[in-house]
Amino acid sequence: MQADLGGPPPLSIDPGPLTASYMYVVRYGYSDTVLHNDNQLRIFPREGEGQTLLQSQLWTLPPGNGVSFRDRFGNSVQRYRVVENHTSLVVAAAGLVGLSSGHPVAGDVGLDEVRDVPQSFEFTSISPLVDPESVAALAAEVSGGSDSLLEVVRRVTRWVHEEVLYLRGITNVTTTAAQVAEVMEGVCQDKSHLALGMLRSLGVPCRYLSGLLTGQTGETHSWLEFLHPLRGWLGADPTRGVVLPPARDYVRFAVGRDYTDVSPVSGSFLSRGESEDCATIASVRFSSDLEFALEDGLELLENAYVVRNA
Amino acid sequence: MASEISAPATPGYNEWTDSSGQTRSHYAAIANAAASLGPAELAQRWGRANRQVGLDAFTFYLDPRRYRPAPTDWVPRVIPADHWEVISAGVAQRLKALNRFLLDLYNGSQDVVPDEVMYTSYYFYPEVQGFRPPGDVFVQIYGIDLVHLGEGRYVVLEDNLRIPSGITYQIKAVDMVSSHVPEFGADYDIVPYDIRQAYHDMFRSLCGTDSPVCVLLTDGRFGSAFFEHRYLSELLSIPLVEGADLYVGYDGRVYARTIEQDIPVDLIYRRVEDLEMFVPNLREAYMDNKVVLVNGLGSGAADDKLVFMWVPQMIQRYLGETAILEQAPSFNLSDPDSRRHVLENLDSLVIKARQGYGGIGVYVMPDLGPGDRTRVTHHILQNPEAFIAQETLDFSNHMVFNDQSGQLEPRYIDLRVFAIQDGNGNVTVFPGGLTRVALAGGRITNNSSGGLCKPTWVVRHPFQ
Repeated sequence: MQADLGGPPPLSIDPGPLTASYMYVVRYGYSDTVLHNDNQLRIFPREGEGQTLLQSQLWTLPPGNGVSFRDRFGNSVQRYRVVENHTSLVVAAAGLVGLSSGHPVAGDVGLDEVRDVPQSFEFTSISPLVDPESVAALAAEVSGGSDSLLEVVRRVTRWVHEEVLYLRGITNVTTTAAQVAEVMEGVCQDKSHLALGMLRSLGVPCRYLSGLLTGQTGETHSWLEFLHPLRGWLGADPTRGVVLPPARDYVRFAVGRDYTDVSPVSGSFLSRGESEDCATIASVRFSSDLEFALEDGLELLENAYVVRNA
Repeated sequence: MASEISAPATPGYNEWTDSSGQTRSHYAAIANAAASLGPAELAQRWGRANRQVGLDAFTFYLDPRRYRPAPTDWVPRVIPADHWEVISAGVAQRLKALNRFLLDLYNGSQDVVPDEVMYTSYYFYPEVQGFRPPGDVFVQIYGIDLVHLGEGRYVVLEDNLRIPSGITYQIKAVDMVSSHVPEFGADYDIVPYDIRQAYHDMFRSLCGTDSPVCVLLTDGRFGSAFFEHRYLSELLSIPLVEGADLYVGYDGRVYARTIEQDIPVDLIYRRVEDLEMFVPNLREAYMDNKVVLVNGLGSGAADDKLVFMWVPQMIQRYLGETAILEQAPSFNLSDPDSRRHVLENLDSLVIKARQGYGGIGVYVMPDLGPGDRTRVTHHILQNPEAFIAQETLDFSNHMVFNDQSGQLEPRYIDLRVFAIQDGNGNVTVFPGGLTRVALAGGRITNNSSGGLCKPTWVVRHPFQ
């Protein structure tokens, strides 16, 4: 039976959920006074699909005002609006999540089984940064005419992992999948966009994931999920070159069509000046306690406050 | 003489002529007056009235660098009193429900409109949460856009709850036609109204005093509706101020600077959106109930073109009534099924940018070519949450007089009706409204898109 399922073998004993403590802090500095700043925050763990939210906290400076809601992709969102003068903005989120420790298992199926499913319209159409048509020729070449789902996902994921050079500073948050295919360089976001575009052009419904990589300190991470007709949404990570990664690898913040749907902080501000610098710190550690969150987050907030009053 | 001013029959409902090309009975007196004046005299009257428009600085700026008199056609629109009864009741009902909704949005836990829609609205202000304005009135001045499908069937296209403009254009157009072409109105019993008295009563009830100090806050003489700000300030005898004329004192009250002394202000009739940018700490003064704002901060949340979809449910929920006025059937493009339906039926729909105003970002698909169609399809697919789709309505035409050709020509028209709500929740709907006329060949009537104004009367006994 296992040969039929394909993918990594399932763990014989599921050791039960793991608990991870995460933190995400971002600070924006501005070259002049900002009069108002209106944003949507998507930095809260999603519930379900192998992830349980145990605790979640948010600090903001200036405090501002906020309301929370769920967007059309089921992401938890905070509208955060500041109407007092400020020259820097700090947002810090921290909490605890339970992560399923098993490995996802799925058998291969024909590509035609995921074509024209209800999710197709949302997750194979053109989106702001991903135009499937623009990378369709490339996708046809890389997939080598395979008509099985897992095989196609594997080929595309590995190809992007191997052929697109991981390089910072080449691309930015507005770089499209087509542009990535042209320069063949970029970061995790670009690799995800390119792989999404290629898979969508082949008719595979797939979505962009934003979150954190466990065991890694640094920035946010992005990867993708494709739709399996029997198993639902399954992961693939073109940056790491992994298909069907275990749930314990990630803290999942938000899903969407591309980066524009899930950006951790998106919005606008009004100022004579510009956004000068942006610093992000993110960290995940396996722990059943809120480890670093409070002190680290608060320390960053204090530093920001000193800068603000300097 | 009558044959010299011809009125062609038009597709769709024409308010002036019936389907056989005959002038409708309630326009007979105007048609007769026009015929006995003759095209040459009418053209002269038009010229005189339009010169007066320029001299009176009756303007609506599209571009702040260019002086632009508000283009007006002087053939009046007549709304029979029985039509008006329905419009007036429907407008009052809608204003009350929208206000109750805003109160619940900022003070309760409204569940009529999905949170995602409400909280992504640009004009939803989280900082207003927990605030109750005087008399629980968020919306004191309301403008509603209607179209007439014929035989008294009026349909709502939009609600304007932030800083709706046009009421003085309504007044001015009626005043001008009665002085320049008095013959038109000679045989009609036109329903009068007194805006000055109604506004003063509203101001008093909101402030709870008999002689409140009120000011009108303008965005300045280059703003598109500056004519209206100046006219209202004169009509209501309240000073016209810009942001720099106001400040918040140490006692938390708002003061207006004058040559003699600084005067504490009770009420600001504001005609700018982003208040706190122009008057520091004004928001705090307002939220501490040190000053009344007309309209209230955050009222724009219910002005969102997507929120519009749920107004019938608001009427049901908050008033326990069924909506008196129909509204244009609309689609929420965030929902994939609606989006697919809209893209499949694009040719019969109007696509509007959710945060647009004044006809900007409105695509009337039946009137556009294939290039625009592709562009709009991409816009919708890429940013579905930024747009709303509405069914295209075949609304009414009226006649405008072409003073070059001496002919009457059909144009699409709409109707913006104004209503006010006082501190006790009493609503007054001003009879008539501002009829806006689309440019030839178009359906967009907004003045910001270059449309004409037209005098509008509610007439008690139109069928002599």
